[in-house]
Amino acid sequence: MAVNRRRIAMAATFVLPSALLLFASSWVKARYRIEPPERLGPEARSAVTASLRAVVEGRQAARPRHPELERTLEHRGPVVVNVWRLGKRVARVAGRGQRIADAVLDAAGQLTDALTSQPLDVRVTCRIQVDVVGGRGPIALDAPALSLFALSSGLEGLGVETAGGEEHLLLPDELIREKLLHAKNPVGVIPDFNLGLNRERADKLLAGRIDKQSWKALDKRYFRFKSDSFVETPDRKGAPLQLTRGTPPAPALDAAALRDGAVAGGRYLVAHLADNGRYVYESNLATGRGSDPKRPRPYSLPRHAGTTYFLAELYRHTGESFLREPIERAFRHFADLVEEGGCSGTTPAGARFACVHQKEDKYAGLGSTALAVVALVEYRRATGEATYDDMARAMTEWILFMQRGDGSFAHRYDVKAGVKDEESQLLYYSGEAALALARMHAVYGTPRYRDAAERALDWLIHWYDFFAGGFFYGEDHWTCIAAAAAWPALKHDRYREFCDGYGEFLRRQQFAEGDYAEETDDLAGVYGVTPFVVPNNTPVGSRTEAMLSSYLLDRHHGRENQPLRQQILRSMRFALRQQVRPDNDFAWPAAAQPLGAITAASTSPVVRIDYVQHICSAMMRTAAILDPSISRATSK
Amino acid sequence: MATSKRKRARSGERAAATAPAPPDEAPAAGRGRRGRERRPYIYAGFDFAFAALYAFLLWQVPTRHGLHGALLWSTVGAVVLAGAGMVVRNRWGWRVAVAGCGALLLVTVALLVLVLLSASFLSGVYGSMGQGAATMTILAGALIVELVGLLPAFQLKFLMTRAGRRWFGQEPLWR
Repeated sequence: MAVNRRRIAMAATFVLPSALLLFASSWVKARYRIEPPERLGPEARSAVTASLRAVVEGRQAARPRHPELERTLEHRGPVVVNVWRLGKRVARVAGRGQRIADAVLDAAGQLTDALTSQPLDVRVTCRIQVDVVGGRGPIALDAPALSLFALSSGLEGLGVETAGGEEHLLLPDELIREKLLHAKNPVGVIPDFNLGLNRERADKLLAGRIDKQSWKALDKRYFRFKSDSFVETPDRKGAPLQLTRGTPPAPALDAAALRDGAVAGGRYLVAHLADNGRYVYESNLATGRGSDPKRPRPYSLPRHAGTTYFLAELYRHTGESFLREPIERAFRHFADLVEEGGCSGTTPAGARFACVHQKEDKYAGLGSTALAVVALVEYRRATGEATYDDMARAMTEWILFMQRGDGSFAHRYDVKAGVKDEESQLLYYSGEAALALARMHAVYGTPRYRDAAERALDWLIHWYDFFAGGFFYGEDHWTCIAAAAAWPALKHDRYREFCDGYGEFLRRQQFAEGDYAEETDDLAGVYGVTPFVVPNNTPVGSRTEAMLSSYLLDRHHGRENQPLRQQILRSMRFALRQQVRPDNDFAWPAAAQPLGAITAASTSPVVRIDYVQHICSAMMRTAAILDPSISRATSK
Repeated sequence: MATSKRKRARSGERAAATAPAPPDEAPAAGRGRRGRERRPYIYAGFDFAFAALYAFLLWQVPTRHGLHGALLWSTVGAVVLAGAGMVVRNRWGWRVAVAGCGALLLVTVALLVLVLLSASFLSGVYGSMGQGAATMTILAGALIVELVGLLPAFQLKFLMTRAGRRWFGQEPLWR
């Protein structure tokens, strides 16, 4: 008897926890899971927009005909129709019905009234976006930790049902455009780690015209929903484009598409370069508002330099004449900063030095000057002109002055006191300095630059020579770019080995098709650690730049690294999809000059200059690898 | 209430210590107790399961430093040795098991020293960011104690007891 009891206890010990977990997860899935919407085929989508377009163009509304549109709608839809013109919403209606076709007809009827004030010539240039609202599920907004993951970002919308069965909806892409996602910072020490919904603003938008007090007093039931979303093509020819997170599918990946993407990124940056040579550092595509380039902040000099480097690199590859004057304008800003910032003089060895420094700051950072040198050298490589040679050499002297005997660098310099800050260590700066030195040697052939680049690279790759360092890599993309730039002056296999290892480490973090739920396949190519948080776009660019250099380094050593090549192409497919193009700019105001932009993430409307810089640089360099004849730099 | 097997074994140990059996009866009595003893098989099972776990983890999270890799992979060798020793019921089995457990404990100490050195380096060089990394490293150290250190510690303790020695047909180490 005792033995039996013991056996039962033992069996329960092993089985009960698993059984409880299985039960709990099944309950959560049954209660919260929303099946992905059954998407309409191209003909059904065309039938829907044809019916709505008739109304937009002043004709009679007709019930659309297609077998797929006879599907029953849960909760009578709704079918939400947005009409856009030049990135501004002209009308928004929600039609309801037992079947999709009924709801579209209802929406078409409402659209007739909503558009009456618009002249016909304005209406015909509009683009129609349709969301067929499908499955719904409850939302955990009140549990503090769970609320951070309450919505699947960009795939789920937020709805609220008020008394009398009235519903207010925010579509998945509206949550993105209104910047309502990733709005909370749960871990204060990681400022870039944001999750959760901005509930207050969401509530304000859901309330619409209802005043705050009345809205507060209403009995409300919040819910999540998914929708099948699509939009007309820019020329309104062909089937409407399916949207995922507000974005249609990417163009086919080839050298021409990548080159076009890079040039579009260049045009975006040039359009956001002010007369004083500073960029509009950050813009919100949804509002069209951007930071003021006349103010010292928010701004980042390393990013100013990095962006100018990309424009010079693009000019070297494409020879596009629209780039030349803006590049020189941005270079003039370097000269202004040297002059106004007062960072110039002679090193203890008697060499003339200069560094990029903003007069409002106490310290000059190594990264700003290093990337300024890289940009100047890139321009020299593109044009063969010696205009900026003196500036580049003086800045390189300062970089050499900042280097220590072991190859590492001091990262900050107190300009007034003329003293190096030996304590601070900042991300990226050492790799950027190594790249500046390697590029300077490639152009001017000065042995001192090569030796300094070698010491810097060796220090960077041997930094990991401690136990925990064997398991991870830091942000070493500049290190690998520098290692490839140093070839053939430095042919050490240890650089190739390090960069291949870095590539493999990153590959483990890259999302691939089929890794997670089918709905997240649009994220294939991005770097992240979990599908619960939509990763940022920038690493797709910066890491691909490094992977391109690693791939070239492999080639220099006589190896063809296929996994690395596939890793690069996967990221570029994602990047092409993310870039603002004529087929996906329908909801960004034309005043924001959005074409060519890359947002912070597929769930954000914010663009910063370095997002465009990194991704478009990777696009251009990938294009040159796929088809060397597409670039002036590689076709020679 | 049933008495646990361990308690019964311990009382058996005490009986054997206070009233030694006549020399001609001792082997038969020893065989009976040895026959009931299950702990060696449980330890051997844990050893082989942990060997598989270590190999999987090291395969998934490899280090790129050869020497550190060798040290980490030695945990797989040592725990297999400890498990193999447990099922060989003679003097050599006992010795191999003790050697495996001892080696694993030494590797644990070495790993903890390396982890603490790493944490100090990260914290010292990289300020607040390094302190975050150092905290993660110290957490990894705690995991090393649980994943690598505990099993050989308990197993070695068993191997040193009378019951453990008896399993291998050995005289107790202490009287």
